[in-house]
Amino acid sequence: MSDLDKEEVVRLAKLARLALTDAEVERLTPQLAQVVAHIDKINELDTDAVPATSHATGETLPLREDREGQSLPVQTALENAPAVEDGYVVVPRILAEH
Amino acid sequence: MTNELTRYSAVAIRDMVATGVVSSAEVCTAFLDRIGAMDKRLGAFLKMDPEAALAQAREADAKRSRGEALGRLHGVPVAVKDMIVTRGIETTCGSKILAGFIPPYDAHVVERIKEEGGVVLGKTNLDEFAFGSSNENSGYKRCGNPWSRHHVPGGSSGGSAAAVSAGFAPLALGTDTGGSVRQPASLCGVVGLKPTYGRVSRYGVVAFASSLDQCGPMAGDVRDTALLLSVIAGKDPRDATSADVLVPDYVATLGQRPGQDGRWSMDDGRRLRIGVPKEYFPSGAKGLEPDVASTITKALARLSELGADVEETSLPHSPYAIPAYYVLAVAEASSNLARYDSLRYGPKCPESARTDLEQCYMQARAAGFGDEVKRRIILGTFALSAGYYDAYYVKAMKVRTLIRRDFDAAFRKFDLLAAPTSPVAGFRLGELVDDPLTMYQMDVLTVPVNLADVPGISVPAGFSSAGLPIGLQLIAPRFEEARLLRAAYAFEQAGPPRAFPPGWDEVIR
Repeated sequence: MSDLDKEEVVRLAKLARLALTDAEVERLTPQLAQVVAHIDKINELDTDAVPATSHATGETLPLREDREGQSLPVQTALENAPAVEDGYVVVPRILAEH
Repeated sequence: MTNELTRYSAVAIRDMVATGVVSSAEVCTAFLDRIGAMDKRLGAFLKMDPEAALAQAREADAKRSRGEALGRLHGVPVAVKDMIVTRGIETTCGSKILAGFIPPYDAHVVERIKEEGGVVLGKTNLDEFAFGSSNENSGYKRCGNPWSRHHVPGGSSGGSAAAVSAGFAPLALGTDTGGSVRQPASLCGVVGLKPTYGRVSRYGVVAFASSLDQCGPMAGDVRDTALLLSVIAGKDPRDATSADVLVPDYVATLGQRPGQDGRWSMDDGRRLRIGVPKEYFPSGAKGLEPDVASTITKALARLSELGADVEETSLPHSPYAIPAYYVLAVAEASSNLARYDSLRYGPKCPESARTDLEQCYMQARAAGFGDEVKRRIILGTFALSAGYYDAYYVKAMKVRTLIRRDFDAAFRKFDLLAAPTSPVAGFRLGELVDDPLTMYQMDVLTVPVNLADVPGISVPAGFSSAGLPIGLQLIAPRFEEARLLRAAYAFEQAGPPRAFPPGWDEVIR
């Protein structure tokens, strides 16, 4: 159904923010192609009249009272962040300079 | 003397502590000593905090001296899979990308264990982010199978299964998304149960596939498994998917209802009907190993002798379960693992990437994730990407509906289903590491149970001619864990007593 070639693997990896080495692309592509070929089996089934199951319980999102409660203090929540300043997580620049 | 304590069940330990025969501290020390002396051979634990464990044990003893009411797990040590957060104890999910992550909170299941007086012994080894069936994908170290130095313990809860099997802990927590509690339980000769989806809160259980994950108990026998399930099950408002369904006393109901003629039956006196899906047994996809086939044949005979009506049934969409699972689970996983970005937790991204956000993500994730994680993230991204989403992800969700309907139909005729847990008694370390597709097939008998959101248990049924354990899998309708455990208990009690792996019996001096 689809051709999972090296170009596609590199494209998908970029989408997932994963840098792959040439050696990894070489090694992983045939493995991935083999899995995708197996997965294609699901297309043997006629599912036109079948609803999708996205979730086990079929329940809609449970609601609660909009009341303030206890939660993790900011400082505690940020304990594991490598770079923190004034209660914010420090990240590399996102927007280019003008 | 102290090492003998590690041979006792959780129930026996709890009772001995409650009556003062032995203290929690003595129990904890016995297990810590055994782990300290022997785990270097096995690799079941990734992280121990002996001081913290002993402090919990001493507090349990103090509580008893004060005459306070004791919990259901008072003084009992529990090993926790490193996929579950524990406050103050490093939690890595077996991945380098979470090296040094110290959770500031306990998972719901860990809170429950502590509330009932249990002692968290340490964090067990696993396949990285629970992706695997052999524990070989651990980002830290290998874990062996106590029954054979050449064979895998199974996965992804390999460390928990091996720890219970080797007598390093009477109880353990695992997680099961496609078989990761049941399959290692089968390979290591212990009991492992995957609850109905929603039976146990996932709050604090690191997410792999949010619509499939369940945390499940593992132990040396069925009664201990029932005890741990009783403790961890129940609604938790912090997990919106946890079910508001009453938690019965799974231990108290174990031996119930032997039936009017002393044999095993349902509430109304009717004999228990057990269906054996023909797609699982005797065929089982690419075929079962002969020793597995013969062991399960004998197991089914034992179920008949106990008074069940055992009959063939069919789950016709079974061949589509693995393909559908490896779309749905990997798609959900690729989404769930997007949070590992080196900014909020885990090691900083490499120096060279720190000025560019995109490079930061790309390099940190490249360095932090192992091969199987990369494979699944790419597969998941593929299944969700524009142009493929309908053909793969939506299609797989529809196949999931068909698989659920198969189980629902079978349960209109049968009270339980029975099958092998694993198509093989074991496979050797290194044998399948470079063959992901064959590795995925190891889950062929367990994955459908997750897709259908029903509970399943693996209970030891015998051994292969090479001495490797083989488990029987029993499957029940949603929220019928009590029925499942009663059946497993009766099966277990009608068989030989628990066997311990040879070579792990030395008394620690």
